[in-house]
Amino acid sequence: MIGAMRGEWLKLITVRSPKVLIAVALLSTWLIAGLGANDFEGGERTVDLLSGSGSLAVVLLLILGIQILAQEYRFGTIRTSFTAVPVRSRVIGAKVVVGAAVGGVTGVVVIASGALVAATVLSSRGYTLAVDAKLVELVVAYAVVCALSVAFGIGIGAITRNPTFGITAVLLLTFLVEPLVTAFTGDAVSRWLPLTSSLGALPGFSNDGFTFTPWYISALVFAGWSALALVIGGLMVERRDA
Amino acid sequence: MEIRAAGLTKRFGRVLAVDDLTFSVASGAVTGFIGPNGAGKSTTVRLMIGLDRSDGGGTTFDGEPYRSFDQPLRSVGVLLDAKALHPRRSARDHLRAVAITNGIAAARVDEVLGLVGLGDVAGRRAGGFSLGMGQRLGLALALLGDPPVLILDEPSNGLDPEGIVWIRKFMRFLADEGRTVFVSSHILSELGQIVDDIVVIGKGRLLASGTRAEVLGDSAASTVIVASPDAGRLAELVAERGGRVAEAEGPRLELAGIDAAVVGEVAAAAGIVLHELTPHEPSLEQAYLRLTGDEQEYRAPETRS
Repeated sequence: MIGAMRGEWLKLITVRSPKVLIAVALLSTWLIAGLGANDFEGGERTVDLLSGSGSLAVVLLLILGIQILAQEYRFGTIRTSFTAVPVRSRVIGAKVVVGAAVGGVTGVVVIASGALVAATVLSSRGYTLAVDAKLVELVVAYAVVCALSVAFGIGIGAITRNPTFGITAVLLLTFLVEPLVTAFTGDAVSRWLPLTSSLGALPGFSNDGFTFTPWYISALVFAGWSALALVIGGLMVERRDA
Repeated sequence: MEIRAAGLTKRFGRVLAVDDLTFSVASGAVTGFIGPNGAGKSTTVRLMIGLDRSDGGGTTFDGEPYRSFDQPLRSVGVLLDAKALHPRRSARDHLRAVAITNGIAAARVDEVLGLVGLGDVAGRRAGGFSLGMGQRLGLALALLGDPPVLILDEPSNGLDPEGIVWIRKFMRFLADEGRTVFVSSHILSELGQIVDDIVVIGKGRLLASGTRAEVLGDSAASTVIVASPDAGRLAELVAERGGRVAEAEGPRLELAGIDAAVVGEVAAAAGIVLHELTPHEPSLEQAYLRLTGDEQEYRAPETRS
């Protein structure tokens, strides 16, 4: 398993697209955090302007997860991977461990650096970013959600085995299916949906009755979705021809 | 290490791609896996190493299925699709990521890249590789774990004539080192004289298997083409020396069971004029076509002459 994990790490760092996705995740977070800090008028907690600043990063890491698996099918390298490591669950397991670790670390870096950007902008306007337990909680939540997001993406990648289909499916889910379900059924159902639960697990982002409180209940729901996608995808990969 | 495939079966929808295929591959020999395009060769190779899920049967390597190897690249090296590469990853990185999963040292990566002649382009992105370079990289991948068994699916695909000769010699060299070499091709002559054993399939079924002589019969033996204005007398003299006329066309004879040198001596001794004296390599293609004649999946209709 260690060998398989080291192989997955090498695969991840020897191509460009993961670096591009992570760079865009960072830039988008800095932009949103900076704009939020610029609009800060006092009266609310400074941590709240950061809550959703990395939400695009969460979606981008989901796309990274899809790519980690589906690109291998696209380029045919999955056959090489399964030739080198014939127990397929071990390959997928290694991808999940490495991908989730990268996702978790990226989550921390994204929100911590976003906080730094916000603090800089705030201080230029005479405010101070409160470094307190709430901020620490937010960083932890980002680590968890980003790690789960990559894992969920790997599951989706295993089901679709095609990056374009996988990403399209996620975009449809984000912008069509989940908003429609929410519109027709209300929060009671929508907070159980995968992407709503992932964003609901970012404390302070959409906690106005929309999602579960505290945030980690939403994180648990999202973890359930990730596990489900991985089990279904894993079984499909196991049974199909490579 | 010996390979045994028993009852291999694979169905794609209604098409039976591989039909109860049983054969074995001896070590220290080159075994040609021959069949027309669409005969099921690549599917068989994928079944052997578990990439395709079989609908019956199985393959063992010295009694063990491929899946049971913890570091399979050290036992079985496989060349499949040469174009299965991430276009943005360099040749070296491609091999490094695979090597590390089987605990193979990074130094071995550069060693095999040099061995297949890709040392100078190791740092280049695989996306810019020609089919022939991809084929060489695939071979490097197969050799990575220094395995006793090599399974090569159409290794000459995309290689220039020089490359084809090179890979032929290379396979012979690997077998002479005591390795088991199982190589598929739809063109028998591409494998040339290096094949010791042959497994012939058509439409997923086994048509013949055994040593080269067993499978190809008489047509595997070399003959001598000779042309002489006195062909009749020459034929008689050749018969006295144990040869026979395999085919006669006017002054031109194809002689079997006799060396070109002996024919020359016989003719000189009898003062017979020769217009041609050529040792003729076995007509493997004809034997192959005879075997696979009814089994070609995709074939142009017969043309009337």
